[in-house]
Amino acid sequence: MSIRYAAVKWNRNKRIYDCVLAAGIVLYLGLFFLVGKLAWEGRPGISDEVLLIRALGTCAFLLLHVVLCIGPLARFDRRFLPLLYNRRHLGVATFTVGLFHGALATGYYHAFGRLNPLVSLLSTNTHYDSLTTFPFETLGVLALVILFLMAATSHDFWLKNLSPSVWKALHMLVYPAYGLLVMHVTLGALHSEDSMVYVVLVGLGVTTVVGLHLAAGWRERLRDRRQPGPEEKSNGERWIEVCSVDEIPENRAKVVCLDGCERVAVFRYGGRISAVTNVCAHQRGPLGEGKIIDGCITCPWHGWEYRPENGQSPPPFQERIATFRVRVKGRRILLDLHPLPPGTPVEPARIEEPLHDRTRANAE
Amino acid sequence: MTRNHRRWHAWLWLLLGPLIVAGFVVGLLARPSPVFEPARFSDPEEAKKSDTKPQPREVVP
Repeated sequence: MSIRYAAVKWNRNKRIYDCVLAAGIVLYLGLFFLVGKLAWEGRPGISDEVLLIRALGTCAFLLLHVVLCIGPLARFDRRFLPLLYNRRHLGVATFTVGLFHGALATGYYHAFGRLNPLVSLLSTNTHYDSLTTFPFETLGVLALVILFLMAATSHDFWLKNLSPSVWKALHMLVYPAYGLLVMHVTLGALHSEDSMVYVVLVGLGVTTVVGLHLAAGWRERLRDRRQPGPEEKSNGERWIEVCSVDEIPENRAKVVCLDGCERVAVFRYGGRISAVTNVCAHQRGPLGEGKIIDGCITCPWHGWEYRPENGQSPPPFQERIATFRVRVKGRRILLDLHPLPPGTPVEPARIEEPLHDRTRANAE
Repeated sequence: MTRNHRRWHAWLWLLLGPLIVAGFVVGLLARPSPVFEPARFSDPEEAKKSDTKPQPREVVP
């Protein structure tokens, strides 16, 4: 983010991710078309164009469910983190498929009159006061506008220029967009289909997305409310005991959540302990859930790197994060909760090896 | 995520989650009941009436 921009910084993982995504979309559309042909054979009003409109619409709706579930799932289980890595490509794919659905539906149902198709789409049905005949198309158009805004600003160029906070706030519009799409589907497709299968499928999707977000939010709230460990005061400074050295695996971190404070990631590496803020400078990813690779803390979301001893990205990058003073007393780790300015070097605390380990090492 | 962002996120879902579920349920309740058309011309009298009914004019938008 701090040196130069490229349209997409391709690497092997991104190529695999995008190939799987594209293949998945094509496979879904093909399968939907084939199954739809068999299931709705001889039914009036189900032409190939209508089948394609339905395939594209359901595909975009399904993709949006996946996009929305990745975040909370990754909080519950680390195995979902690889999906998070390239989530923006998934979002752009969702918008693109949705756009094709919208364009095809508008062309098919509104292009043969005298009015401009878009004008016809928005002005033919104005029964906003009736749920039964509500112009559900308008809801789809609104959701598509939001998805367009997000796809257009998905690049790191916008993230840097809008600032991560504004960018995050803008991209949280995906939630209202999801609400609009649920209503678009409910008042549109579910009103025209008698089968309960579609109702159950959409209901399952809504319950999963809402349930996962509420559960993840509740879990994070409980973590944030943890009480601090015993305090120690020396030279007027407050040191909080956070955990034992043995609780942290090598090259990993323990995330310290204390009531009223920002989270801190305490890393153990090569017999040393360092502490930095848990918030990545890029997209606010949880650094403490990442690991140390080649001497750098690596963010689990997009692989941004920081040196644990000073919170600085390795050159030529210039990102910096706050560091914390840390001490090791016996096997206990003590932390000064006051963050130091981003990029401040802090001497890592040395881990005192237990006596029996030292004796064994000397014997060897 | 910052603490602030987590809070925003949690509040947004607390508000939006029930709203989406409620919208979905209300939308389903407003589904039009399925229309069952009677078999055409099962009654000879009806068929006679149908033949004499004026056809609606085609409307060109």
